[in-house]
Amino acid sequence: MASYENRLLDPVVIQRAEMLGLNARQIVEGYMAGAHKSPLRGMAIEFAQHREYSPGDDLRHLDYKVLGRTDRYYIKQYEQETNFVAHILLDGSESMQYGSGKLTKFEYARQMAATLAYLILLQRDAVALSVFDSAARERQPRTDSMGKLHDILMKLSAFDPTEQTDVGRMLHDLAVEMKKKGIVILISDLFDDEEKMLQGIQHLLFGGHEVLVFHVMDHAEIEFPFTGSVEFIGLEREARLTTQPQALRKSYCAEVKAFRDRVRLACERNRCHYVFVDTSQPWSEVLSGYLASRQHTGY
Amino acid sequence: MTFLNPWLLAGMAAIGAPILIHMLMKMRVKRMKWAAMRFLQVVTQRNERRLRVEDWLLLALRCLLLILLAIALARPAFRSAGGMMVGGGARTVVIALDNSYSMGLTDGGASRFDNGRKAAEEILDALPTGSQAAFLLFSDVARPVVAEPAVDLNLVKKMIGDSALTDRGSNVHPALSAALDILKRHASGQGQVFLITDGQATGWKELGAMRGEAAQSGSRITIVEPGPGEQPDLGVSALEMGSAMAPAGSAARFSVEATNYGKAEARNVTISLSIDGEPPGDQAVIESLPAGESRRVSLFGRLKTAGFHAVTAQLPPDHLAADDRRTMIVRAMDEVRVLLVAGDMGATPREGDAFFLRRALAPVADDENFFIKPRVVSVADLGGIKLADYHAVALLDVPQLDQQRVAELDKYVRDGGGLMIFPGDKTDPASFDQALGGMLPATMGAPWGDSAGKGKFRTLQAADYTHPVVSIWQDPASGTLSTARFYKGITLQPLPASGPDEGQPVTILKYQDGAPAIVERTWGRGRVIEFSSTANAAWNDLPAHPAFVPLMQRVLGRLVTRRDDALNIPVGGVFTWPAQPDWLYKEMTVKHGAAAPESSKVVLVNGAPELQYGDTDLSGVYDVSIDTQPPVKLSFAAQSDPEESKLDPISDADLKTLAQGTQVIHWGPETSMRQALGGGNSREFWSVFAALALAVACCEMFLAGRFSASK
Repeated sequence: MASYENRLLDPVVIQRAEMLGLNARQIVEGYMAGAHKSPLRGMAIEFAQHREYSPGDDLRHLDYKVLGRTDRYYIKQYEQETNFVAHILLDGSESMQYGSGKLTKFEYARQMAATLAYLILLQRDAVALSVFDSAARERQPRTDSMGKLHDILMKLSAFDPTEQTDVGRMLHDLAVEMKKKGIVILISDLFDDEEKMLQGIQHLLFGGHEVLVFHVMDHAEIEFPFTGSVEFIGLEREARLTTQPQALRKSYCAEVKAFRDRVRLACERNRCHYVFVDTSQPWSEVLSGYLASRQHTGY
Repeated sequence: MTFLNPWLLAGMAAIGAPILIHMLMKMRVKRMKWAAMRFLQVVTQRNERRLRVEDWLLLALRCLLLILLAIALARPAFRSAGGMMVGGGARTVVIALDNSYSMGLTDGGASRFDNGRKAAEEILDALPTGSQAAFLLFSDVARPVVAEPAVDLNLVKKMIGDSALTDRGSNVHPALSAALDILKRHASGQGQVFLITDGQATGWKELGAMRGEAAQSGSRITIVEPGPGEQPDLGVSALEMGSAMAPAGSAARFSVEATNYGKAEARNVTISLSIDGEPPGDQAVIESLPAGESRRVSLFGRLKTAGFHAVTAQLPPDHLAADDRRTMIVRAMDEVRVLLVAGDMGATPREGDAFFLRRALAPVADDENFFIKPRVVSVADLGGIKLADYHAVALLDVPQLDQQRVAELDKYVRDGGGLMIFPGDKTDPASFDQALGGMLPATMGAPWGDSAGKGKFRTLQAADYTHPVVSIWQDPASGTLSTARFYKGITLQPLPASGPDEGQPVTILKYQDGAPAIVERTWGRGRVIEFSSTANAAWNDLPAHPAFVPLMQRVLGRLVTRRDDALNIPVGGVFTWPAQPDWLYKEMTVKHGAAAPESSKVVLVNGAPELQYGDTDLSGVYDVSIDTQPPVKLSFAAQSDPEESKLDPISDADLKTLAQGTQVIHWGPETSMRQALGGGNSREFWSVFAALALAVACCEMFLAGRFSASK
């Protein structure tokens, strides 16, 4: 693999994730047979139900056995197993540039996106990628070819966050663009207008998409461990602020917690899966934990 | 309100420190890029006002803490209308303890000094917590022991316990001045002085001057008089050489004076004399010694060898040991060399100017050995003679002296030599006055009388022989000087001293009409004795009188013993002795009694090597050894002031005039020193401010902890 592949795809993470797999938690539309049920009925591999014949139906699906026994015309319907389309939305705004440890939030999120893309492609599902800030900056159209993974990783590696974010707008745009139902995986610190962001999520859900939200925050953003007099310089062009962090730590942490709770509750209310990610935790643990819980709960 | 250490208020300037630290901390800002600004902005807006208030509150508390500490250290006190200080408890006191030898008086038990130390310790015990005390010892000088008021009262107590008596006299004035000065510097004068002294009147001679200082200071003064009260006391008040000189191997006469300082007559008082610490060799008994009176006795002692000898006169032990004995150092001499410079040698020795004086000094046959060895030379021969080889020089009817001879004589006398000057017919008084100037004890005025006439004459005084040279004629049994006739002489007009090395002129002997006949003056380490008439029979018939021989020998003794005056110093004086050039920078060891020897170096003083030693607080013999090969050994003695034995106390009424509110406490074991501390003119309020400072410090710590807790 190329160097950026080495950086973005951790073999340990891949190995763990392969064992668990990423399954769609609801029926999604797909274009090739896979591990996921298709919402489309018709030519089938697995019987689903009967319905009365109506003129114009394909007679190949007429259930002759029923006709012979009951003299009624019923058409057999089958569930089609298909692959799902996962659309990974990676927040590439400037606020993702912050990092108190070895990795910035963006570097961490980029690894997440790469791993998820690989995993999805590996199980013969389709994946699309958008790196966005106030608009989509990098795109990888839907693909189910493992050969395209290289393109995805290149785009992830090459991206450098420079702009302010607009998650809500991005979600709305995606909801309009996505014709077929799929899984939308949003990876962001969600430092944006909460209301607008929630509306975007709801828009996607309304379109029948499953939405996964990976809420990424740096550990220092959660714990606020600073002392002395500190001048904070906003990464997204906010006004500078000089204060004594130790005097505000409790209030700050409470504020962050309230924010996380609001987002989590909003997601839960809308049957949208919310995963909080602390960048101080290894991504492998976060991912395997999530996949395990998803498998366990049926999500 | 006033401040006892007002200069410490300058410590308030330290409030700049927390402000500066505050500003510096504000300036020391870390810069950091931050993503989650939205939350930070919310909480900052919400807490900004509170943080600012907390910041300023802590800063104000820290400044207040420093101000309170500065005020507490400056020791505030309130002065009431009556001049008294009122307020909290801590005091500043100065304890001055008398260690003059009269404090050694006992009643058979504890001495006044022992009781004085106990009283001082009780004062310290009675002081409120936080008080501070300075301590000084005084006699006729004040010696600070704890020079700055110390809070560590145990240290002061230890110093009091370690203090010792001296044999010095007493004078309260220096001690009071020193104590008031300490209080002025450390308590703005608002402290209390404890003078612990036996209250003998001799120590309070300068009461008038002390009143002025005490009134100016405003300090409270308490005089503590430890017992015991008056006791019978006999003392050796004087010990002097009675003989003119002390020839080695011969008996010398010593005049010893005993004084009864008690209130009752003493009977059968035995005085003994011992040489070099040996058992008493001579003693006398005074049958009756009335109270307040003195008696002199003559005692004899034989100084076996040439050199320094300690002669001690001693009384039986009594309640004051310090004055029961008195010691002097006498240098016994193998020979005394005298140079007689005759203006006229005469055709025969009998006709020369020096004939009678030579015979008077050595009244033995020419072939007989005598310790006084006179040599007669003419004025012309004087130039080739080394004067330093002679103990004394006599100028007999010398017409005049050239500059070189005058310079040689000046140096000779300054270095310790003795000079006798007799006028005569050839003497030019004006020339002598001009040449010798201040060295002469008296100017040589116009001649009086007529040596040829024999009609009119003067006689010498018939009584009041007070000067040591003529004191033996105080006793009529010794004969008289008044029968000698003086037909001619020169008028002596005593010449006051004009320099530090010159002594004032002293008349040894007068004529019957009061005109000076013999006058002396010390000159450097030597002495000059000037006569108004001749040493032969040209102008008077004194040489024909039996008194001539002792008079001349005593005059010679007066000159010769002058250089040994430095061997007997008053207690507290500085011993100085001319040193040989090869002694320079050699180690000098001085030992007194059983005390450990003290070492110093022979030093240069005014360009000449000199032995110096000043730690002479105790009376008695000091043995000096110079680290040469072989070691040079000499001794000197320190003698205490007999005035200190006068134990008559000053009245309490007089003492109370020292300053307003002066207390006099006659200390005894039952005396409570807490009462002596009553009134509280040294009470202060520093503890209130210290408590406030502590409260503010606690408040600051609590709030700082609380404010720094995360919110």
